[in-house]
Amino acid sequence: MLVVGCGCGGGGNSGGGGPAKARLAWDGTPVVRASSTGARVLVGKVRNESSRELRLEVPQVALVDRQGRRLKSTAVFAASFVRSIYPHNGVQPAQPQGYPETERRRVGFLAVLGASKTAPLTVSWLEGRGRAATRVVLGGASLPVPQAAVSGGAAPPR
Amino acid sequence: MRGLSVRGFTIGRMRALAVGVALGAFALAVPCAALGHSERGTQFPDPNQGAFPAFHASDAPSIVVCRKDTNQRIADYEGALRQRNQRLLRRCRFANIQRAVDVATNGTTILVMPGVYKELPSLGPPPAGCEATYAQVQSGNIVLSYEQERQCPHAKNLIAVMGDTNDNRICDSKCNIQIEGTGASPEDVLVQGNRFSGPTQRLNLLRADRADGIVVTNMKFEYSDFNNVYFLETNGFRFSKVITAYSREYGILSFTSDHGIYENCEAYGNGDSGLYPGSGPNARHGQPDAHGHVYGILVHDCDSHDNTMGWSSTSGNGTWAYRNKFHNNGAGFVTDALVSGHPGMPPDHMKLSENLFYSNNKNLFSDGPIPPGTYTDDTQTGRDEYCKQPVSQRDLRVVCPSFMIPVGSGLLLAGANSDIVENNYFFDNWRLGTMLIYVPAAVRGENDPSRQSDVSNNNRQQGNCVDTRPVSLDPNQVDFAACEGTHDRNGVDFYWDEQEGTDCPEVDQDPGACSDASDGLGNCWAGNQGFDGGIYTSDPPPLVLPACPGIDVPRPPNGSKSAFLVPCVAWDPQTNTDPPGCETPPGTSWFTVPPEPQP
Repeated sequence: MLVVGCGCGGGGNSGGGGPAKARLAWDGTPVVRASSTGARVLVGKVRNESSRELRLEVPQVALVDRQGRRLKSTAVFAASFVRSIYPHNGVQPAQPQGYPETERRRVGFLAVLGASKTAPLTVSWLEGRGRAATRVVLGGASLPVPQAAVSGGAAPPR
Repeated sequence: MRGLSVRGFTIGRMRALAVGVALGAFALAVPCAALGHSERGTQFPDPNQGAFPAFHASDAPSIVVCRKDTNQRIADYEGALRQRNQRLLRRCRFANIQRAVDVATNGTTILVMPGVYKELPSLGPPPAGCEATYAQVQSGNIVLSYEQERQCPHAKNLIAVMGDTNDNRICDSKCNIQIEGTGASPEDVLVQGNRFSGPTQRLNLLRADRADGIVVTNMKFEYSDFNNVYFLETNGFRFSKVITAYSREYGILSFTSDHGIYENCEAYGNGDSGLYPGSGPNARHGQPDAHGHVYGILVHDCDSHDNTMGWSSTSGNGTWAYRNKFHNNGAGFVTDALVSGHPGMPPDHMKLSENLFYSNNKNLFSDGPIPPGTYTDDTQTGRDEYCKQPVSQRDLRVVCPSFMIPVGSGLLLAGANSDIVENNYFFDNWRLGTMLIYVPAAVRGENDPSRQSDVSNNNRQQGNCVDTRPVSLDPNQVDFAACEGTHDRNGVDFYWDEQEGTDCPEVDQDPGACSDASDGLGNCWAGNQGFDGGIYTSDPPPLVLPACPGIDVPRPPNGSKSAFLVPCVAWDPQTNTDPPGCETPPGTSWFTVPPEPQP
C-alpha cells in the first residue's frame, strides 16, 4: 500500500480540491502475461484506499526498473479492448486529452476512483535486455510488478 | 441461398409477433449522439412502414442536370446511349445537383449528365439566418438538430436531400427521389469534394436525411471529409451501381435507417471503411417484419478494397451481406459493439453468406522513414510517419487509418450476437480468417452489471471454405456449395477468445435486468472446410471449437488472449504507433503485416 500525492495538476486532482494524500494499492494480485515477442502485459486493478476521490490519467503512469529508470511502456485504465468514437486521421489530432470526460473514462485514459473503489489498469512493455520492470509508478505511488509472467499462448502449429 | 425474403414476398409465420416486437422497439428506440463523429440523436424508422425502393420508370417526372462540358463528354457515346443523352441535354436546366434537388417534388427523377460536380454554390458563405450555424460547425461543434440541418443544408453537406418538413421523422417532401447518372458508367458522373480546403470544406458529399425512398445510381463520389454518401433516419434507400472513393472516413455510411440496399457498388481508398451500414435496424431480432423482411439492410454484389476496412459497422443489426468481395484492405470486415452512442446495441442477427474475404493485408502501419520520391498508397514503408503529417499535406489517395486494426484479418466480430457466417470463402488473410471476440457492455455505455457479458453469443460460422482461392473472383461465378480452388492459406482460419456471452433479451424487448436464457445455442462452428477437403486451422484447435448448435454455458474469455487486446487501446498515430503487447494471436503485433503463410 503506497501513498499517492494528488491534487498537483497533470490530471491528478483530488475531488475535494487542493493538495491531498491518498493511498493506492493493487486490488488482488495483477497478472503479467508474456508473449514470444518479449511483450509483457500486466493486467490488474488499482484500489483507492484513501477517503477522497482520485483522478488518475494515463500520462501519470510510468513503469520503472530496479534502478528506478523509466521503461518505455503503454498504460490504459481498461481491462478490455475499446476504441474512441473519434477517428484518428482527421484535421484535428484526436488526442484523448481533448475528449469529453465521459469519453476519456470510456477509453481508459482517465480513471476516477472514489474512496475504496477500484479501476482496471493494464500496462504493457517490451522486456528489455537485463532491464526488468519492477514497479508501476502512479504519480507518487509505486506498485510492485509481479516477476513471474504467464505465457500468453501462441498460434497453434499448422 | 436460403429464402429469407430479400425481395419481400414472403410473410413469415412470425408476422404477428414480429409486428408487435418491432413496434415496441420502435417506440423505445434510444436517441444517440455519436458515430465516429458526433451526430444528433436519431431513432430507427418504423420497420413496418417503408419499403425497399424500386427504380423509377423511364417516364417518371424528371429534371436534367448538366455541366458546360457535358456535350463533349457524351460525344463519344454511341447508339441509344448517345441519343438519350443528346435528347436530355436539350432539357438541361441546372448546372448543380443541389439546384435540381431544391425544385424536386416527391417521386422526381434527377438525371445527372456526364461531368464533374463540385457543387460550388454549396461552398459559399452562410445564407441569411445560417451565420450562427455555420460558425458553430466551423468551431468544431458539428452536432446540428434536424431543423438546423434542414434550414442550413450546406453547413456540412455539398448536396442535401432533407425529406421531413415538420420534424416528425417521417418523410413528407422530396421522398422517393432518384438521382441517376446518365453516363455510360458511374465514373462519367463524378461528385467531387474538396476535403482539405479549409473553411469551405464540407463533411458529406450527399446527405439523405429522412429522405425515404431515395435511389442513387450510376455515379461516382470522391474526396469527402467524412462521408461520401450518407443515409440517416431514412426508411428506404437504394445505393446502386455507385463508386465511392477516397473519403477521409467512409465511402458510404447509413445509420438508423431501414429498408436500405447497397448493390453493385465499389468502394476503395477510404480511411475508415468502404461500406458502413451502422446502427442497422434493430427491431426484428431475426424475425420478419410486417413485410416479411428479416433483414432491413441488404448489401450485395459490392467490391470493397484498399480501405482501412472493407466494411465496418458498429451496432450492425438486421443486415445481410451476400455475394460481395472484401479484399486488399487492412481488415476485410469489422462489426463491433466497441463504442457508445449507437442505437440498437448490442448488435445482433447479421448474416454474411457467399462472400469472398481475401488478401486483406494492406500495410497501413508500416515503420521507417518516408522514402524519397512520391509516396503512394502502395508504398510499403513509412506509413506511420507519412500519416503524422498534417492532413493538408497528404495525398488524398493515400489511406491513413482512422483506427487501429489487426492488419491481415478477413472478418472481425467484436461484440456480435446471433450472427450467421456461412458459405463464404476466406483465403490469403495472413493473420486470421475470422476473429470472434467479446466486448464488455460498459464499453458501449451500458453499465447494468447483469448485462456486462451480453455479447459474443450464439454466432454461427458454418459451411465456409478456407485456405482456398476459387478459380474465379467473381462471386456470381463461384460455386459456394463447393470448396474448390488453389491452396492459399490464411494465418489461422478461425480465432476465438473463447468467451460465451449471456443470452439477454435486449433492452428494447425487456428493459429489466438480464437473466441468461437457456436457448441451447452458443458460438459454434460446423461444416467448415480447409483446402482440398482438409481440416481448417483454429485457435483454439478444431477439436475444442464447439460444434453447432454450440454450448449454452456463459464463460469468460481466455485471459491469455484477451490481455493482448488491451494495449491496442493506446494506439495513437501521432504519439504511439506501435503500442507494445497489442498482439493477436499473442506474438503477432497488430501493426505488422504477418508473413505470408506457406503451404
